[in-house]
Amino acid sequence: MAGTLIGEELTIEGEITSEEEVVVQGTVRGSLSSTDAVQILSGAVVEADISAASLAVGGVVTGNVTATDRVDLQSGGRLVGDVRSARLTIADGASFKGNVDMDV
Amino acid sequence: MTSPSTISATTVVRGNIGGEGSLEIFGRVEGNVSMTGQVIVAADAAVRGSVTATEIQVAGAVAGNLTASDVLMLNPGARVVGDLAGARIGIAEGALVRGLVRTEGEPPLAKPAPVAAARPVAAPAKPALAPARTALATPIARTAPVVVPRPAPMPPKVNLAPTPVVTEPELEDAEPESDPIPVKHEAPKYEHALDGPPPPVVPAIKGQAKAKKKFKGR
Repeated sequence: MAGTLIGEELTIEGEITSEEEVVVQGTVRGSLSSTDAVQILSGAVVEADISAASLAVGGVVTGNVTATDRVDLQSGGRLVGDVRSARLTIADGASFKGNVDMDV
Repeated sequence: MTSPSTISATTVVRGNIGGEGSLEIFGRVEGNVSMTGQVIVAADAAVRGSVTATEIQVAGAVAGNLTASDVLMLNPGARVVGDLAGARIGIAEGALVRGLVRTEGEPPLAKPAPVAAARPVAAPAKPALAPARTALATPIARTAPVVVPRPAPMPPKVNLAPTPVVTEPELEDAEPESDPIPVKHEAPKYEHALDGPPPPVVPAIKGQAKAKKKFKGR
Protein backbone atom coordinates (compact mmCIF):
# COMPACT_ATOMS: atom_id res chain seq x y z
CA MET A 1 0.00 0.00 0.00
CA ALA A 2 1.45 3.23 -1.01
CA GLY A 3 0.45 6.60 0.22
CA THR A 4 -0.20 8.19 3.51
CA LEU A 5 -3.14 7.18 5.63
CA ILE A 6 -4.16 9.26 8.58
CA GLY A 7 -6.37 6.89 10.51
CA GLU A 8 -9.53 7.59 12.39
CA GLU A 9 -7.97 8.03 15.78
CA LEU A 10 -5.00 10.01 14.58
CA THR A 11 -4.53 13.73 14.99
CA ILE A 12 -1.84 15.69 13.23
CA GLU A 13 -1.28 19.30 14.06
CA GLY A 14 1.13 20.91 11.71
CA GLU A 15 2.21 20.80 8.15
CA ILE A 16 1.94 17.77 5.92
CA THR A 17 3.58 17.57 2.54
CA SER A 18 3.64 14.55 0.32
CA GLU A 19 4.24 13.35 -3.18
CA GLU A 20 1.89 10.44 -2.80
CA GLU A 21 -1.76 10.00 -2.22
CA VAL A 22 -2.95 11.15 1.17
CA VAL A 23 -6.07 9.69 2.71
CA VAL A 24 -7.44 11.34 5.81
CA GLN A 25 -9.84 9.58 8.13
CA GLY A 26 -8.74 11.36 11.25
CA THR A 27 -8.04 14.93 12.19
CA VAL A 28 -5.63 17.34 10.57
CA ARG A 29 -4.99 20.90 11.62
CA GLY A 30 -2.53 23.11 9.83
CA SER A 31 -1.85 22.55 6.19
CA LEU A 32 -1.96 19.60 3.87
CA SER A 33 -0.32 19.54 0.51
CA SER A 34 0.31 16.73 -1.91
CA THR A 35 1.33 16.50 -5.53
CA ASP A 36 -0.98 13.52 -5.83
CA ALA A 37 -4.58 12.93 -4.87
CA VAL A 38 -5.98 13.81 -1.47
CA GLN A 39 -9.05 12.15 -0.05
CA ILE A 40 -10.90 13.41 2.96
CA LEU A 41 -13.09 10.51 3.94
CA SER A 42 -16.33 10.59 5.82
CA GLY A 43 -15.66 11.12 9.50
CA ALA A 44 -12.50 13.08 8.93
CA VAL A 45 -12.09 16.58 10.27
CA VAL A 46 -9.66 18.82 8.46
CA GLU A 47 -9.00 22.37 9.54
CA ALA A 48 -6.32 23.14 7.07
CA ASP A 49 -5.58 24.65 3.74
CA ILE A 50 -5.30 21.89 1.20
CA SER A 51 -3.46 21.81 -2.06
CA ALA A 52 -3.44 18.71 -4.19
CA ALA A 53 -3.65 17.39 -7.71
CA SER A 54 -7.17 16.23 -7.03
CA LEU A 55 -9.24 16.42 -3.94
CA ALA A 56 -12.25 14.42 -2.83
CA VAL A 57 -14.11 15.63 0.20
CA GLY A 58 -16.42 13.27 2.04
CA GLY A 59 -15.70 14.62 5.48
CA VAL A 60 -15.58 18.04 7.03
CA VAL A 61 -13.08 20.52 5.68
CA THR A 62 -12.54 24.04 6.89
CA GLY A 63 -9.95 25.88 4.89
CA ASN A 64 -9.07 27.02 1.44
CA VAL A 65 -8.65 24.38 -1.18
CA THR A 66 -6.49 24.40 -4.28
CA ALA A 67 -6.36 21.60 -6.80
CA THR A 68 -4.50 21.50 -10.07
CA ASP A 69 -6.93 19.01 -11.51
CA ARG A 70 -10.27 18.74 -9.76
CA VAL A 71 -12.23 19.00 -6.57
CA ASP A 72 -15.07 16.63 -5.83
CA LEU A 73 -17.37 17.46 -2.99
CA GLN A 74 -19.11 14.22 -2.23
CA SER A 75 -22.45 13.59 -0.70
CA GLY A 76 -22.19 14.07 3.03
CA GLY A 77 -19.08 16.16 2.60
CA ARG A 78 -18.85 19.60 4.06
CA LEU A 79 -16.54 22.30 2.86
CA VAL A 80 -16.17 25.79 4.24
CA GLY A 81 -13.59 27.75 2.36
CA ASP A 82 -12.61 28.95 -1.04
CA VAL A 83 -12.03 26.56 -3.88
CA ARG A 84 -9.54 27.17 -6.60
CA SER A 85 -9.63 24.47 -9.21
CA ALA A 86 -10.26 24.03 -12.90
CA ARG A 87 -13.00 21.54 -12.21
CA LEU A 88 -15.42 21.30 -9.33
CA THR A 89 -18.28 18.95 -8.69
CA ILE A 90 -20.67 19.23 -5.80
CA ALA A 91 -22.76 16.18 -5.17
CA ASP A 92 -26.32 16.23 -3.96
CA GLY A 93 -26.24 16.24 -0.19
CA ALA A 94 -22.96 18.04 0.14
CA SER A 95 -22.70 21.34 1.92
CA PHE A 96 -20.43 24.09 0.78
CA LYS A 97 -19.77 27.67 1.67
CA GLY A 98 -17.11 29.66 -0.06
CA ASN A 99 -15.97 31.19 -3.27
CA VAL A 100 -15.11 29.27 -6.38
CA ASP A 101 -12.38 30.24 -8.77
CA MET A 102 -12.16 28.06 -11.86
CA ASP A 103 -9.49 30.09 -13.58
CA VAL A 104 -11.94 31.22 -16.23
CA MET B 1 -10.03 -1.96 15.49
CA THR B 2 -8.80 1.20 13.97
CA SER B 3 -6.87 1.04 10.78
CA PRO B 4 -3.14 1.58 11.11
CA SER B 5 -2.06 5.00 10.02
CA THR B 6 0.81 5.42 7.63
CA ILE B 7 3.16 8.25 6.84
CA SER B 8 4.46 7.33 3.41
CA ALA B 9 8.01 7.71 2.18
CA THR B 10 7.58 11.02 0.42
CA THR B 11 5.48 12.53 3.13
CA VAL B 12 6.82 15.08 5.54
CA VAL B 13 4.92 16.02 8.66
CA ARG B 14 5.99 19.07 10.59
CA GLY B 15 4.05 19.11 13.78
CA ASN B 16 2.81 16.81 16.43
CA ILE B 17 1.09 13.52 15.84
CA GLY B 18 -1.06 11.94 18.45
CA GLY B 19 -3.84 9.44 18.71
CA GLU B 20 -4.90 5.91 19.38
CA GLY B 21 -3.87 2.86 17.51
CA SER B 22 -0.77 2.26 15.49
CA LEU B 23 1.35 4.34 13.20
CA GLU B 24 3.88 3.35 10.59
CA ILE B 25 6.34 6.00 9.55
CA PHE B 26 8.14 5.60 6.24
CA GLY B 27 8.71 9.30 5.64
CA ARG B 28 9.77 12.18 7.81
CA VAL B 29 8.24 13.52 10.95
CA GLU B 30 9.49 16.67 12.57
CA GLY B 31 7.57 16.79 15.79
CA ASN B 32 6.50 14.61 18.62
CA VAL B 33 4.65 11.37 18.14
CA SER B 34 2.39 9.98 20.81
CA MET B 35 0.33 6.87 20.18
CA THR B 36 -1.45 4.34 22.34
CA GLY B 37 -0.49 1.41 20.16
CA GLN B 38 2.54 0.54 18.14
CA VAL B 39 4.80 2.96 16.35
CA ILE B 40 7.06 1.67 13.60
CA VAL B 41 9.85 3.83 12.26
CA ALA B 42 10.83 2.14 9.02
CA ALA B 43 14.30 1.86 7.61
CA ASP B 44 14.35 5.01 5.52
CA ALA B 45 12.21 7.04 7.85
CA ALA B 46 13.41 9.90 9.99
CA VAL B 47 11.81 11.29 13.09
CA ARG B 48 12.94 14.41 14.84
CA GLY B 49 11.10 14.59 18.08
CA SER B 50 10.14 12.33 20.88
CA VAL B 51 8.18 9.15 20.32
CA THR B 52 5.86 7.72 22.94
CA ALA B 53 3.90 4.54 22.47
CA THR B 54 3.15 1.15 23.93
CA GLU B 55 5.48 -0.51 21.51
CA ILE B 56 8.13 1.14 19.38
CA GLN B 57 10.03 -0.54 16.56
CA VAL B 58 12.83 1.47 15.04
CA ALA B 59 14.79 0.68 11.91
CA GLY B 60 15.32 4.25 10.79
CA ALA B 61 16.66 7.45 12.25
CA VAL B 62 15.30 9.10 15.35
CA ALA B 63 16.57 12.26 16.99
CA GLY B 64 14.62 12.44 20.18
CA ASN B 65 13.65 10.41 23.16
CA LEU B 66 11.91 7.09 22.77
CA THR B 67 9.55 6.04 25.50
CA ALA B 68 7.69 2.76 25.30
CA SER B 69 5.42 1.49 28.02
CA ASP B 70 6.04 -2.05 26.85
CA VAL B 71 8.58 -2.88 24.18
CA LEU B 72 11.21 -0.68 22.62
CA MET B 73 13.12 -2.44 19.87
CA LEU B 74 15.96 -1.00 17.85
CA ASN B 75 16.42 -3.13 14.77
CA PRO B 76 19.52 -3.29 12.59
CA GLY B 77 20.03 -0.02 10.83
CA ALA B 78 18.36 2.03 13.52
CA ARG B 79 20.09 5.26 14.42
CA VAL B 80 18.92 6.94 17.55
CA VAL B 81 20.17 10.05 19.23
CA GLY B 82 18.19 10.39 22.39
CA ASP B 83 17.23 8.56 25.51
CA LEU B 84 15.56 5.18 25.46
CA ALA B 85 13.09 4.16 28.11
CA GLY B 86 10.85 1.17 28.23
CA ALA B 87 9.86 -1.88 30.22
CA ARG B 88 11.69 -4.03 27.73
CA ILE B 89 14.37 -2.66 25.48
CA GLY B 90 16.11 -4.49 22.68
CA ILE B 91 19.03 -3.19 20.70
CA ALA B 92 19.95 -5.37 17.77
CA GLU B 93 23.39 -5.59 16.30
CA GLY B 94 23.77 -2.87 13.73
CA ALA B 95 21.68 -0.38 15.61
CA LEU B 96 23.35 2.83 16.70
CA VAL B 97 22.42 4.65 19.86
CA ARG B 98 23.66 7.74 21.52
CA GLY B 99 21.82 8.47 24.70
CA LEU B 100 20.77 7.13 28.01
CA VAL B 101 19.19 3.71 27.99
CA ARG B 102 17.13 2.55 30.87
CA THR B 103 14.61 -0.15 31.43
CA GLU B 104 11.83 0.86 33.70
CA GLY B 105 8.39 -0.30 34.62
CA GLU B 106 7.67 -3.97 35.03
CA PRO B 107 10.67 -6.25 34.95
CA PRO B 108 11.08 -7.98 31.62
CA LEU B 109 9.72 -11.43 31.16
CA ALA B 110 11.82 -14.55 30.96
CA LYS B 111 12.92 -13.95 27.41
CA PRO B 112 13.93 -10.36 26.98
CA ALA B 113 14.89 -8.74 23.73
CA PRO B 114 18.22 -9.70 22.11
CA VAL B 115 20.60 -7.39 23.83
CA ALA B 116 20.26 -6.50 27.44
CA ALA B 117 19.74 -2.86 28.13
CA ALA B 118 21.68 -0.77 30.54
CA ARG B 119 20.47 -0.61 34.08
CA PRO B 120 19.08 2.66 35.26
CA VAL B 121 21.88 4.98 36.07
CA ALA B 122 21.02 6.47 39.39
CA ALA B 123 22.61 9.81 39.08
CA PRO B 124 21.74 12.01 42.02
CA ALA B 125 21.53 15.17 40.04
CA LYS B 126 19.10 13.88 37.51
CA PRO B 127 16.04 13.18 39.63
CA ALA B 128 16.19 16.71 40.86
CA LEU B 129 15.70 17.95 37.36
CA ALA B 130 13.13 15.40 36.40
CA PRO B 131 10.05 16.74 38.18
CA ALA B 132 10.24 19.91 36.19
CA ARG B 133 9.47 18.01 33.05
CA THR B 134 6.20 16.61 31.95
CA ALA B 135 5.34 13.00 32.18
CA LEU B 136 5.85 12.58 28.50
CA ALA B 137 9.47 13.43 28.42
CA THR B 138 11.80 10.82 29.71
CA PRO B 139 11.97 11.29 33.43
CA ILE B 140 15.66 11.76 33.09
CA ALA B 141 16.70 15.24 32.30
CA ARG B 142 19.76 14.84 30.21
CA THR B 143 22.76 16.87 30.81
CA ALA B 144 25.11 16.89 27.92
CA PRO B 145 28.30 15.79 29.69
CA VAL B 146 26.76 12.49 30.71
CA VAL B 147 28.31 10.77 27.73
CA VAL B 148 31.80 11.34 26.53
CA PRO B 149 33.23 14.83 26.24
CA ARG B 150 33.31 15.26 22.55
CA PRO B 151 32.05 17.85 20.11
CA ALA B 152 28.55 16.51 19.94
CA PRO B 153 25.88 19.16 19.65
CA MET B 154 23.20 16.50 19.84
CA PRO B 155 22.19 16.39 23.49
CA PRO B 156 21.22 20.01 23.77
CA LYS B 157 19.27 19.74 20.58
CA VAL B 158 17.49 16.63 21.63
CA ASN B 159 16.41 18.53 24.64
CA LEU B 160 14.43 20.88 22.52
CA ALA B 161 12.29 18.32 20.85
CA PRO B 162 10.84 16.40 23.73
CA THR B 163 8.69 19.10 25.12
CA PRO B 164 5.16 17.93 25.87
CA VAL B 165 3.33 16.42 22.97
CA VAL B 166 0.28 18.57 23.01
CA THR B 167 2.00 21.83 22.84
CA GLU B 168 1.01 25.17 21.61
CA PRO B 169 2.18 26.26 18.19
CA GLU B 170 5.17 27.73 19.92
CA LEU B 171 6.87 24.40 19.86
CA GLU B 172 6.47 24.05 16.15
CA ASP B 173 7.87 27.46 15.71
CA ALA B 174 10.72 26.83 18.02
CA GLU B 175 11.76 23.54 16.58
CA PRO B 176 12.62 24.45 13.03
CA GLU B 177 14.57 27.42 14.24
CA SER B 178 16.77 25.46 16.51
CA ASP B 179 16.91 22.31 14.49
CA PRO B 180 18.30 23.14 11.07
CA ILE B 181 21.88 23.22 12.15
CA PRO B 182 21.89 19.90 13.95
CA VAL B 183 20.14 18.35 10.99
CA LYS B 184 23.05 19.02 8.75
CA HIS B 185 25.46 17.65 11.26
CA GLU B 186 23.41 14.65 11.82
CA ALA B 187 22.47 13.41 8.41
CA PRO B 188 25.95 12.81 7.08
CA LYS B 189 26.98 11.10 10.26
CA TYR B 190 24.18 8.63 9.85
CA GLU B 191 25.08 7.93 6.30
CA HIS B 192 28.66 7.30 7.12
CA ALA B 193 27.67 5.16 9.97
CA LEU B 194 25.64 3.03 7.67
CA ASP B 195 28.56 2.39 5.39
CA GLY B 196 30.79 1.04 8.07
CA PRO B 197 31.11 0.56 11.77
CA PRO B 198 30.00 3.35 14.04
CA PRO B 199 32.47 6.19 14.54
CA PRO B 200 34.90 5.53 17.34
CA VAL B 201 34.00 7.05 20.63
CA VAL B 202 37.62 7.53 21.56
CA PRO B 203 39.15 10.33 19.54
CA ALA B 204 41.62 8.01 17.86
CA ILE B 205 41.88 10.25 14.85
CA LYS B 206 43.23 13.05 16.88
CA GLY B 207 46.04 10.91 18.13
CA GLN B 208 47.09 9.95 14.66
CA ALA B 209 46.89 13.49 13.49
CA LYS B 210 49.12 14.65 16.26
CA ALA B 211 51.65 11.99 15.52
CA LYS B 212 51.77 12.93 11.88
CA LYS B 213 52.22 16.53 12.71
CA LYS B 214 55.08 15.75 14.99
CA PHE B 215 56.85 13.72 12.34
CA LYS B 216 56.36 16.42 9.81
CA GLY B 217 57.74 18.93 12.25
CA ARG B 218 60.85 16.96 12.79
